[in-house]
Amino acid sequence: MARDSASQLRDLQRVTDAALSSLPLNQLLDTLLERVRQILGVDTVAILLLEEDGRTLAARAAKGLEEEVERGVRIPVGGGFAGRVAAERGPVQITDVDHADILNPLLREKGLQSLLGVPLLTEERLIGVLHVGALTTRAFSSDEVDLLQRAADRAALAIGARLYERQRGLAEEMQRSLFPRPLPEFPGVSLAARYWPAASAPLGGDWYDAFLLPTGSLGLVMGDVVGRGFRAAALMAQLRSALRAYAFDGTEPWELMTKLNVLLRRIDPGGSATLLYLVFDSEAEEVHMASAGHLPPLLRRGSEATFVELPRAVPLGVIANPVYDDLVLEAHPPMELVLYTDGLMERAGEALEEGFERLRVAGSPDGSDPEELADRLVGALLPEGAANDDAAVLVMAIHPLGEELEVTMAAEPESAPLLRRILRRWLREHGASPDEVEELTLACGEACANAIEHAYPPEARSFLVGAHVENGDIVMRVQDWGQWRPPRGAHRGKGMTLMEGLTDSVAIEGGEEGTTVTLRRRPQEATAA
Amino acid sequence: MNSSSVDLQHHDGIPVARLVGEVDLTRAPGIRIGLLRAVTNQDHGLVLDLRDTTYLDSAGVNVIFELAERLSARQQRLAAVVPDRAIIERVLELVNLRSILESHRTLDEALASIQRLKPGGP
Repeated sequence: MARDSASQLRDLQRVTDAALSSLPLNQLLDTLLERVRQILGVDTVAILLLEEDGRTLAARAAKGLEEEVERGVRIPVGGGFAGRVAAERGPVQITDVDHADILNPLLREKGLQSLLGVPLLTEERLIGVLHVGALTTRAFSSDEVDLLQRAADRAALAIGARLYERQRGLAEEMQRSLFPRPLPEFPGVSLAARYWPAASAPLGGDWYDAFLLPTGSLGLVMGDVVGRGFRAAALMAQLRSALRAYAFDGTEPWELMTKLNVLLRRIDPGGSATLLYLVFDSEAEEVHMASAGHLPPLLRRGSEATFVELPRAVPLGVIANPVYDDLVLEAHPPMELVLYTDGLMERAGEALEEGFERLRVAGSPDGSDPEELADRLVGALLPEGAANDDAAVLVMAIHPLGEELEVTMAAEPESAPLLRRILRRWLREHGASPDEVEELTLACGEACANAIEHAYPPEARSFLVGAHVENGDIVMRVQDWGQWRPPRGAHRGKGMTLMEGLTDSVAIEGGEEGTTVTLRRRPQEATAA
Repeated sequence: MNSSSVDLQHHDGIPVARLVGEVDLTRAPGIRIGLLRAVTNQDHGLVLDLRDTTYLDSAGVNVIFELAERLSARQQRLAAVVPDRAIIERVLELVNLRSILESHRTLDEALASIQRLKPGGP
């Protein structure tokens, strides 16, 4: 086929046409293939894409032999004609087809004599094959090979962009779904979290987590799986679930690290992660934490910010039997702890020390609102967002309980252990003896159990617990928005017996809008005075 | 604190169920299952060890009442080891659990009381 250079140029423009990029992918491929078929005067054009296994090509779009797509033709890389193009990653031409080379029965049935195929590459990565076929015996010129390759590049660009977009969308959605939303509510504590995916990569390995433990303590996690992409994200997701499972069983931080190290080495040999896990016990006012090679949290008391000195320990996955230790930190309010990943402070060409110093300075000014603190840190450290690494920040602010305790809790059984811890601390601070602390905590626990049991959604999802001292009496109030129900069943009513036996008086006021139980008791100390 | 339900061991073939930590409405359902499973038809009784129990609310008390009734109906004995811990003793007293629960200060005493039921036992 003799063609002048002007028509060659026109042909080239038709396959590299910028207007194609505004089309949806299917239409773009359709149009592109039809143009290729017309320009080269061939009887069949087909695009096969590499499957996720990296070993199989599947027909994606075709002209001339459209049945190919419908029949879902699949060719192994290295086998058949398309497989050979994929394996060689360059143009392949067959002018006199020996039917033994053709795996695709459709190509054989049609009696194709000549074939030309080129690879679809994005950034050196093979994503598929574009091939044309003719029923006559013909040799394709180097111009024709070049034109087909340009069409393949155009298709690869569109397909690659689509794949990347889809991958990025899925990745971000998956990562977001793994972060706790909303953050748990914990009396006397407020939490704030921020996460930025890296601009350059769809998926990072950073994660944070916050959850109530069955014991009524608060667990906080900050971790960073080494690497990126789906493998890092999948490992992150597995570690996150395993961590929660171990944590809910009451595993101490150091032991949890040891267990996760074993697990990580089994599920992803060669993978590694840094991790910080801490448990805040509001009754003992202590934080227990262990780190596996993670950066130390920033501790703020007033306007003083320092880094917690953690025992040295290797990241998870690196060695077989690392030793992890718990650090116990006194946690008297007010104080704030800032957990973060290295993406927050790493800057190209800067020593880590400078990053630490910037973080410390940004964290120093007074003010205990964790949202403000998180925003301030991010503004100071990531003014232009995360660049090459993703970044996460989790701020915990511990507040004093105050003279009058008033906490709102979710009407769930899980609130009970948490409430006991808060109550014990408050009672201790307000003149109750150790026995009185236990007895009043139990009495109030029974009132809370009632509120939890009788809470009917949606209007009664929470209840309120208040405590104050009145003329020397400790007064505790449990208020819900459900209906008070008389005890049922043979063993019911024991809660009432306990409330009455453990306090000086129990008053129940019920109405349409809810029930308030008021418990009073004069501490021995006050009676003696 | 361990949040698993019941720590079950056998001493001379007698099941000993230890309730560790806080027994409250969140743990009572799991503990109930653990306790009911702890006793087989062949057992002469069960020792309920409350020495490491730090908190016991009405949900926990109800589980113990149910357990006591089940064992009693099957002619099996329930012997509790009750600690010298004010709050637990106070709860048992207030709900009158002692009326149906034989309580001992030591594990050996509790075991001996069940051992006596065994044929050929001391």
